[in-house]
Amino acid sequence: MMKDEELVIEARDLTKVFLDFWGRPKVRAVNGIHLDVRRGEIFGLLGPNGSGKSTTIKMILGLLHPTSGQLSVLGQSPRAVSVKSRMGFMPEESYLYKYLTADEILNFYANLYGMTGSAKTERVNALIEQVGLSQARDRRVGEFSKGMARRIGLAQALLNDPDLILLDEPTSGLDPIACREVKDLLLALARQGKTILICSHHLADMQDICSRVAILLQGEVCATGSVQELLSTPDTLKLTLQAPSQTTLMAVLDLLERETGTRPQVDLTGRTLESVYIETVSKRKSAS
Amino acid sequence: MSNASARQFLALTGLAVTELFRQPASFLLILTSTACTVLAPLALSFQLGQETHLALDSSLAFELMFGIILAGYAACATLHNECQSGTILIVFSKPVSRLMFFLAKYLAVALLLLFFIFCSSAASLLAGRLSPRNFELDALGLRLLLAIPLVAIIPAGLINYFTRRSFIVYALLGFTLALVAAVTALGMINSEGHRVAFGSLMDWRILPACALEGIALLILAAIALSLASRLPTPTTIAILAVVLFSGLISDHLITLLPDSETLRYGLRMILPDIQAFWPADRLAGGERLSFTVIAHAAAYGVAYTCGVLCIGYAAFRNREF
Repeated sequence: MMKDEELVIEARDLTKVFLDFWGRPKVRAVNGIHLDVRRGEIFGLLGPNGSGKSTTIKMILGLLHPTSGQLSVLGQSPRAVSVKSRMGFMPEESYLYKYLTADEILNFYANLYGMTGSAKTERVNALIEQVGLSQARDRRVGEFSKGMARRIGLAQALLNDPDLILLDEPTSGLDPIACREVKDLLLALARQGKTILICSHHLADMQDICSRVAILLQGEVCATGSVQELLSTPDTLKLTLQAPSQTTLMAVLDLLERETGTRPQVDLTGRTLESVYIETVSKRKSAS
Repeated sequence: MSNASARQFLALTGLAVTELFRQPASFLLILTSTACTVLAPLALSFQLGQETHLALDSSLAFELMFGIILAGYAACATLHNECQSGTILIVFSKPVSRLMFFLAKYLAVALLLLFFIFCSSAASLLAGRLSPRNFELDALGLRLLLAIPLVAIIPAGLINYFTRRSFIVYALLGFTLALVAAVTALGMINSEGHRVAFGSLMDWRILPACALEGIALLILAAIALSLASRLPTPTTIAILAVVLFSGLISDHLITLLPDSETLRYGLRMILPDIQAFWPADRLAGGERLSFTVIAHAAAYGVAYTCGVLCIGYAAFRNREF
C-alpha cells in the first residue's frame, strides 16, 4: 500500500458540472471520479471525446473549479499559485503567441518562473536542443508546423524541471520519429522520479509508456489499473517461437486442442509499421 | 513585491505591450485618428472666424471617439483574445497570480493609450496651427503633413522586406518621429515659410485639454478591461460608448431620477463624471486649464479607475478557462 505522501494527485468524488447562463446544470463533464496518481509513475487518462479527460486536467491545473469533491495536487489545493512552480503543462492545442519566436516564447515563460541570467539561458538552450528546434529558434511560431509547435509546447512544459507534468495529447501531430523521441523522453523523466499524467487517444503510445491508466467514459472512471493488469486475460497466453516444420506445428496444435478443447490461433509475428518507418528513415539520415 | 514577482510583472506587461503595438488595428486606429484630427478642420472651408475654435473642438471629439474604440479594442485584444485563443491556459499553469496578470494587462492598455494621447496631442497642435485663416489654406504645411505617412510607411516596408522585422512596429516608430518632426518644423515657420518664434502660431492650451481627456480614456480603459474578461470587442466598445454618453449627460440623467438622495448619490458613484474631462467649453471661453483642474481630475480618475479595476478583478478572479 502506497503512503499518502507519495500521492501526487489525489481526487475523491470529483465532480464538475457546467452551468448555463441562468445557472442551471448544462453538462456533467466529470462525475464523482476517484484518482490516485503516485510519484514517479506515468499515468494515462483514456477515453473518447467528451469523456471528461481535459476537464479533469484543467481541474488539476486549477483552471476549472470542481463543483464537488476533493482534489489535492502535490499536497496542496490546485488553485494555490505556489503549487504551479512544481508543475508543467502542455495543452492539447499549441496555444502559443504566434508573433514570438521559439526563443522569445521560452524566455517569456522562463521569466514567469522567475528564472534569470545564465541559468535561464542554459535551460532555454538545452530544451530547444532537446526538442530538436535549434535550427528554428529564431523563427516565429506562427510559421511553425503542427509538429514543431507541439515540440515548443513540450519544451515550455519542462522549463521549470517540474515534479508533475501534465500532457494533453503529447504525440498528436508528431511524425513517428519525433513521437518515439517524446516517448523516450517521458520514460527518462519518469525514471528521474517525475510524475507524468497524460491524456491521449493514441492507445499504442499510451500502452508503450504508461505504468497505469484510467479509462473515462461520460465523466466516470470505467476501468483503472496497471497496463499489464488491464491487458492480461487470465486464461489466455501468447507464445512466440521460431517457426517449426509444418508436421511439428500440426502435432503441437492437435495436442493443445485435445488439452483445451479449442483449436489455438496461429499468427505470423511481423514488425510494426512504426518500426519499419523508424528503421528506414534512420538509415537514410545516417547515410546522408 | 519581490524581485521574482517584479520580473513576472514586467514580463507579462512587456508581452502585452509588444502584442498591442504589433497589432495592425492599433496602428490603423492611431493613423486614422491623427489624419481625421489634422484634416477635419481643413475640410471645413467656411468657418466664419471660428477656425481655431472648431479645430480644437474637432480634435478633442476625435481623441475621445477614437480613444474609446482603441481602449475597447486593446482591452479585448489583450485579454478576451487571450482567453479565446487558449494562451491563457499556459500562462495560468505557471506560478502567476491572476491579480498580477490583470494589472499587467491594464498597464499595457494604458501605455498604448498614452502613446495614442501623445499622437493625438501632436495632431491637435498641428490642426490648430494649420486651420485655415481668412479662407486661406497653409499649402506648405499641408505638403509637410502629406509626407508623414510616407515617412512612416516606406522605411518600415523596406525594413520588413530586407530584414523581416515587424512592419507595424517600424511604421509606428516612423510615424511618431515624423509627427514630432512636423510639429517642430511647423512650429518654427508660418504659412509663407518665414521663420517665427517656436510655437507662437500654435494654441498650446490644447495640450492640457488632451491630457484631461486622456485621463477619461484611462478610466474607460479600466471599464473595457473589466468587461473584456467576458465580452468580445464589439459588445465592449458598444458598452463603452453608452458609458461615455451617459457620463456626458449624467447631470441630466440625475434630474430624471425620482427625488431620492440615495438614488442620485448612487448614480453619481456609478457613472464616470465625463463632463469633468470635457474641456471644449472652457477652451471656447478662452480659458486656460489650470494645474489644479488637471490634478483634481487626475485624483478622481485614479480613484474611479481603482474602483473599476477592483470590480473587474473580482469578476476575473473566479473566471474558468
